Amino acid sequence: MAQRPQFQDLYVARRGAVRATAYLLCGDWHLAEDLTQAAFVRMYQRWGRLQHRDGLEAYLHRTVVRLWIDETRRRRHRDTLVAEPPETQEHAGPARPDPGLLRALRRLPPRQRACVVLRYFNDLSVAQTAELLGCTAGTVKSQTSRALDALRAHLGADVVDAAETKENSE
Amino acid sequence: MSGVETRVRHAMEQAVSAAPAYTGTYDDVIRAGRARRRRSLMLVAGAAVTAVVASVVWVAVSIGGHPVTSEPAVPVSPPPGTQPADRLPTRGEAAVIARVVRNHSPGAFRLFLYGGPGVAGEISVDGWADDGHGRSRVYVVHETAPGAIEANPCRDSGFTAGGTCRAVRLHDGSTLFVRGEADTTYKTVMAVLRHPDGTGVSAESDNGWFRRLRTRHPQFGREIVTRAHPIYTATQLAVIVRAVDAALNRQTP
Repeated sequence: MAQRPQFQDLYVARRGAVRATAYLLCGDWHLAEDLTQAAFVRMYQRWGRLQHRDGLEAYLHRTVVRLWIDETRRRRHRDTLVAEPPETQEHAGPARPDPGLLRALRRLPPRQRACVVLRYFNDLSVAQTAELLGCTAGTVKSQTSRALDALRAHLGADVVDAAETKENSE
Repeated sequence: MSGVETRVRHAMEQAVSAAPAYTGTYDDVIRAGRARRRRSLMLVAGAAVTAVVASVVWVAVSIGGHPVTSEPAVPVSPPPGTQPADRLPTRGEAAVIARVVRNHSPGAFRLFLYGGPGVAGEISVDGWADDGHGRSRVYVVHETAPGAIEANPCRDSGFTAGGTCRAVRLHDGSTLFVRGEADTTYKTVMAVLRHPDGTGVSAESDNGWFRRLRTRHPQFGREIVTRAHPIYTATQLAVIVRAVDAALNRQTP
């Protein structure tokens, strides 16, 4: 039988990856770290049961997505609506990301954004994304398709590609 | 991969490539996790506990100040046929805990217990007991970090989960918390012995068990319900946590 993972080892090894996913969902490194820490706290609470199972990273990602969706619901009630989403803090790096595309990504509804991040950043399949989000594969496909349509509209016609139907073949 | 997909992927990879340093710490997680741990044991607030369980718990209150005896704490009800041998940890504190659970369980019970890797500040024994009518989870934790156990779990709705909860002050200053059966996603009973510094021993028994085998598609976070009720009562767990605490104290030089 394989060695069961130690909680601390898992924390050290995976916190960066989980935070990256959280950042792509929320667009704020501070909130991303809070969400990541909260996800590990949840895991710690259930560690007695979780430690015997596969898919611990999937659990973390699922938790962080759900925490973030909860957070968006809370913020929806307390935040002031503005004409344009405010720019969130971005740390300049050697390779500047496409700010327009990231802004477009952040304008997506939470579920669509989660589908895009999980599919194209975490490289999860449609089935894995559906399992993680607790919905059907068809929902993932339709949400992803709508998200890509929205992103394409923001990016302009230069990236229109007929290969978008690839997902439907999965 | 289409143009949009490629650009989205590239933009996301670039966006996270310049991540700031991670400032949260492992200790932060552990501290927060311990504070909320009792709440996590129940997923949904449960229904009221039966009067029978309440009265049994009341018995636990009445015996609260008396020393633990070495006699089995539960009536022996041997199942038909023979059970395979126990599997218990053989080393360290986990072995001590498992031995106490064994000594305070009917001989007819089959026990399958193992020392969990746990996290810093605790030693846990997890597994199940089977009386021939279905496996029942047994989970005993020795909390060694001061403050790990909240001051009054009976005031924690996550801990009580709709079940009765009694606090008994013991002669050595410790407090015994006995939580009767709560019907949440599955049925659980619990007992916690808390020392004044927040260390102590907790025990839980469920009406199901966790498959330990690693599978490709695990039933994530789900316990396999096998019985109508946990194999131990809250009163029995109260006796067990006190006995575990006493055994571990005897080990301490």
